[in-house]
Amino acid sequence: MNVYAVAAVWLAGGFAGTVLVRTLRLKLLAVVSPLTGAAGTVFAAVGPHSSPALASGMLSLDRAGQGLLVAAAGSFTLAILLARRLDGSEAATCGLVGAATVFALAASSPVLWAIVLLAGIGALAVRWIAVAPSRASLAAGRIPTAGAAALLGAAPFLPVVGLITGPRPEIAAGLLAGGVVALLALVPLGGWATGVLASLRGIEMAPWLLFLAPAVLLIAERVPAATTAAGDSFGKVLLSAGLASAVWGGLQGLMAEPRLRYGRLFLADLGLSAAAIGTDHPAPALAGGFLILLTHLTLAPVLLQRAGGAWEGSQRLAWIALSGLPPAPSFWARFLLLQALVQVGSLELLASLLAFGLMFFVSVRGAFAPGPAGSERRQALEPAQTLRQALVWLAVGAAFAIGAAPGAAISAVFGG
Amino acid sequence: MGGSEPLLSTIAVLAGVIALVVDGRRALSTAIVAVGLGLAPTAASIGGGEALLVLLSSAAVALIAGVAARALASRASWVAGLDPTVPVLAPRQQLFGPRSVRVFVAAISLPAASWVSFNVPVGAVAVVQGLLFPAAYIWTCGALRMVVARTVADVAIGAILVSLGSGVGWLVRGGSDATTGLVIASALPPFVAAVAGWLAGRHSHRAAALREPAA
Repeated sequence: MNVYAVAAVWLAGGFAGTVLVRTLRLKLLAVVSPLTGAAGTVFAAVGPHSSPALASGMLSLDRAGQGLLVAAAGSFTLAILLARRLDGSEAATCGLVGAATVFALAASSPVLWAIVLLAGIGALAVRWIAVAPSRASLAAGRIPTAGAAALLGAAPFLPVVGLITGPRPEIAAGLLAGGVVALLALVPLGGWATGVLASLRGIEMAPWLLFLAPAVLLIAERVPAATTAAGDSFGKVLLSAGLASAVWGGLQGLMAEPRLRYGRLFLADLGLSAAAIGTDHPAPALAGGFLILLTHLTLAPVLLQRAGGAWEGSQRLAWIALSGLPPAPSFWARFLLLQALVQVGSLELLASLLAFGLMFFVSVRGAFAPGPAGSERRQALEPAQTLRQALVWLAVGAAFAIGAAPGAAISAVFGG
Repeated sequence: MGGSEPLLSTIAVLAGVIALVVDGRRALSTAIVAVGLGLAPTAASIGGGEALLVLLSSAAVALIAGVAARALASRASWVAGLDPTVPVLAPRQQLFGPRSVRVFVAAISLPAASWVSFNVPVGAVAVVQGLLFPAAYIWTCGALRMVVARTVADVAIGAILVSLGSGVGWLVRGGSDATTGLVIASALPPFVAAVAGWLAGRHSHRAAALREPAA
């Protein structure tokens, strides 16, 4: 199946899911969207893929992109199954964002890459504004779309390899870095993501968290090779913004109320992965980034739900999986990222260690925080949710399995 | 390049200013027409008839898609809707209104686009300089309209400006895939117009439904 067919399957599955939920009034049918998309992606023709910033090559999905899409679809399915409230539109949003992610991961043209990211994040922003019109959702309509616009603005100046005089390499690298920073919600352009996390349900945030942000991170890893004429300007911006995000996310996570804590930790981990990409050591950065993505794709559906109730024990274990201590998958992920960051300099090493420490305390607070009391606890203990509870335990178990065999997990999902 | 550069730049500036300051129900359609016509001479002089056809087709399809989506949505069954032209937040009392801010944006976009055009060489095959102004100006106007957006329509207009501006910028860059890039960039405006038209139609349907019991 070629890329166009895979994207069409995602779109069709998304709209079919919404129609099924609305007509049959069975909310769980929203899973049709990610499952159809995943099935289509499994049958996608996989081939070599170059950086879209190089502006050369064919439209083709590589093994890492395919693995990411399937894993994200599985994670979104779990998020739907665990969500307490659905209105059916989540399926259409998933289909739209999934199709945009397919093109973004397969694109070898900087125009196509940026256009699909603009369409994907624009569709999500409209959804967020419609669900919760507020300053936060408006910011989500402004900043990441402007980031995608910056990627599009960089297109005419690409590629910047070889001997190029004038400010063209710096302009191109600056626009690319600005776009990636805005789309990944890194400091100083990350306020929109925390605002949306605070004002919307987890399932509304999931398409960005599970599809777009991992896809942008994966593609950002391929950009430095296409901007060699700009020196390491792109990398320097990503390194500083990423480390600042990791430290800031850790600090804010310590002070955040329980329902925002996971979002802060996710942004901190995203920052660390981006910082590692900004170093000159792509091998550990890529492996660490893959593991960070796998860990969050496994645990995000569990931790995006309201804390406590029947899931309290499993959620505490999920927090431990994010602590960065062995045998948690986050240990290997952050260890690999540290391997990349330690080679840059002592200041970067200090900032990384500070971020690791803060993230450890955030997860400890998450794991040992007192459960909800009073009416919240009564609400949480409503009807028996045996299947959902089993799924939550399965996700937490899968996270520790990734921690037990990180190399095998990376190979299985992202290819060898 | 066939056309007179100052003339092409002037047309693009006029189009950019119109697309930036336009407000209200017909803002999106006006912006599409203005940007389509404003960039058409540049596209024609660089890419010939083929590029002109792509650009004007995109604008025409966007207009039709917007109107069709609006008509379709106003006939669909009632659902809670979002009006793309209503500000997401109630504005504060301030000395300068949103349109004044956008006029300021249009003004600062001029030197920015001018600097990029004359100082940053582009070109996949042969390096060219000084031809990028119309595309750079429209792109800057679009990006800044997104940044100062107060409504979904503002973001939609920004996206259209940015995509068409970048498409023409890609055309100026040249290379074997110059027209393909313009086609890809031109695919976004119809999609954006359809979404905005759908939202507007759905909202007008709700407004009519709310007015009926009162009458």
